Amino acid sequence: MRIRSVELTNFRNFRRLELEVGSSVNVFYGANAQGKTNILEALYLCACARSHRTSKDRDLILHNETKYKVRLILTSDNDDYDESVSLSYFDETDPSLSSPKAKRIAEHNDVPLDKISRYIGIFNAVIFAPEDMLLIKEGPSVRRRYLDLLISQVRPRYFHALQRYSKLLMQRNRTLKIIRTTKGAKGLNAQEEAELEIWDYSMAETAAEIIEERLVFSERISGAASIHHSRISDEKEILSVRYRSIGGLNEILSETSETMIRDRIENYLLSRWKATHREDYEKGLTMIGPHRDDLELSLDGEGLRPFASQGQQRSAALALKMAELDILREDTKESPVLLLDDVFSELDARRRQALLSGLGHAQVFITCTDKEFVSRELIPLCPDLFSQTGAFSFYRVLEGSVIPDTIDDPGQI
Amino acid sequence: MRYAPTIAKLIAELGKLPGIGNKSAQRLAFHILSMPLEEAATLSDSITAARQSVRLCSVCQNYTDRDPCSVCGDPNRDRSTICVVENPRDVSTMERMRDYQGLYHVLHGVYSPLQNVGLDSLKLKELITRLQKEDSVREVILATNQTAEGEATALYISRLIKPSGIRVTRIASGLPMGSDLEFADDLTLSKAMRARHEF
Ligand SMILES: [Zn+2]
Repeated sequence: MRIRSVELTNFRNFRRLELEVGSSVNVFYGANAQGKTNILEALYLCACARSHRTSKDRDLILHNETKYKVRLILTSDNDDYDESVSLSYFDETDPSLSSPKAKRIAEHNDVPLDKISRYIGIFNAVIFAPEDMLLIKEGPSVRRRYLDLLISQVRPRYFHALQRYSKLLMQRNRTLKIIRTTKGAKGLNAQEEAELEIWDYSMAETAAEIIEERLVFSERISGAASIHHSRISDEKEILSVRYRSIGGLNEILSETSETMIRDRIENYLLSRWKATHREDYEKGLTMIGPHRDDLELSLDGEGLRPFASQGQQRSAALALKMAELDILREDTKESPVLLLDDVFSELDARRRQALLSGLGHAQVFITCTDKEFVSRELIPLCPDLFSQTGAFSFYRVLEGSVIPDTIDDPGQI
Repeated sequence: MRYAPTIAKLIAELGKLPGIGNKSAQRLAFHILSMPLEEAATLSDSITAARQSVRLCSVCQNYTDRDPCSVCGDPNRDRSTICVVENPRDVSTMERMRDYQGLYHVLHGVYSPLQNVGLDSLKLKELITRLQKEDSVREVILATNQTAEGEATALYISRLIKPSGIRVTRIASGLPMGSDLEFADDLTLSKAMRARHEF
């Protein structure tokens, strides 16, 4: 899949941008804070309906405006048909009114879709960015998001299950809080137990669907990431990835046959949720479920985070992202668009080469401060990949505008 | 812009209606203000009259101006089946298809603590009392929406009714008639696959 053109309206520091892009390697260069990363962010947003930098759509709107829109015209790898995707967001909340009036619209071929779950997966992209290090450094929620976004792009039903689960979870937590405020610290009566059970039963099926997919994908990620890791890392350590479900589910699963997994998870969660009504009620929160689980990373069997060196962390993060790319490519039978946001400056030659050689013939978008960096540092690492003339398109980014270079031959830069 | 207090009040009241944003509320308000006084009075009178004369049917809890309502009072309807729906609007939708001959029960919402709708604010007690009183009922069809809350409410009702031995069914979901498989979204398709039946 390739992007033909990009249109931004009131997005970050771009008031209006209409840009035709090259089918191979697109390099956005310029000083910092001119808007290079904003372009890649917009492209990623169109794939995942979520920025890699912020969870607040409001932050993406140009100052003093109330709406942003990003629209891409796409073309598939083999067919020559074009399609468009767009994502826009209005925030017309009047501070004098209490009710917020904000709305997000996702469109496919300029037709608004009623659910974001129908949008995810139409256009796929993988981003490599400095934020990837958070996969190693931060808590479980970052790794859950990585897993969830990957699965959502290839299994549209999964995204729907996630949304449904999070809604049900909010209902259950709200029920816990209502019971707490109306009765203080006394025990639960039969009616209250029944109310919680409604959510237990409703959540169990969806939770089992989520966990089953996560187990399958964690195993695939582990396989792909360990191969990439052995290429990237100078040490001979083996990276492995394992889905860690809190509340004792892992132990149950290790002794379960493949076929009954979903039912087993469902029954297990149901029994655990029912058994922990009292604890959940005391905390006012649901303590067990896929919303608390983690993707556990280890090197030679030892948990990665606490004592890993910067280099070990960087290798592991890069391996996870390359595994993401492999899986998307395998399941969609197309190469996702690759977004390389200021990543090379952080990587040594070995890791740069590992990254470049894994890119294949995808359409690539690169940001860097210095245009010569590409010819000096990247092309020598992968001369074959970059040998075709016309492979490169360069764009200078300056204060929210983009100026395409006329020369696109790497030999002439 | 600031409006005279009476106009601001009208805009605020109209803005409370579902689907009416602030801009639409302003447009409606100015339309009403431009109407001849008699016409505006007719509008407000019909709102009051409808609101005053319409009650809930004591049997099915649907809106009605006589009790029991025209469905519950119709001797030709099948009294062995009750279709449980969220809203009075759903009854009109079902009636439009002119196929269903049974009775209804309107819950007036779905269980949603987040929207401050508790189980006791739904017409559930009325449903249970009705089932205990009328021994002609053989089947309860749960036709709440397929949202998270609609499903949860259906689940609760089925657990409530099952011990009585009355058959409880849930309406199927799947592909819209006359639609091409090719154009169905993945979600609908996978639901339809799961709900497949013997043929
Ligand atoms: Zn009635």
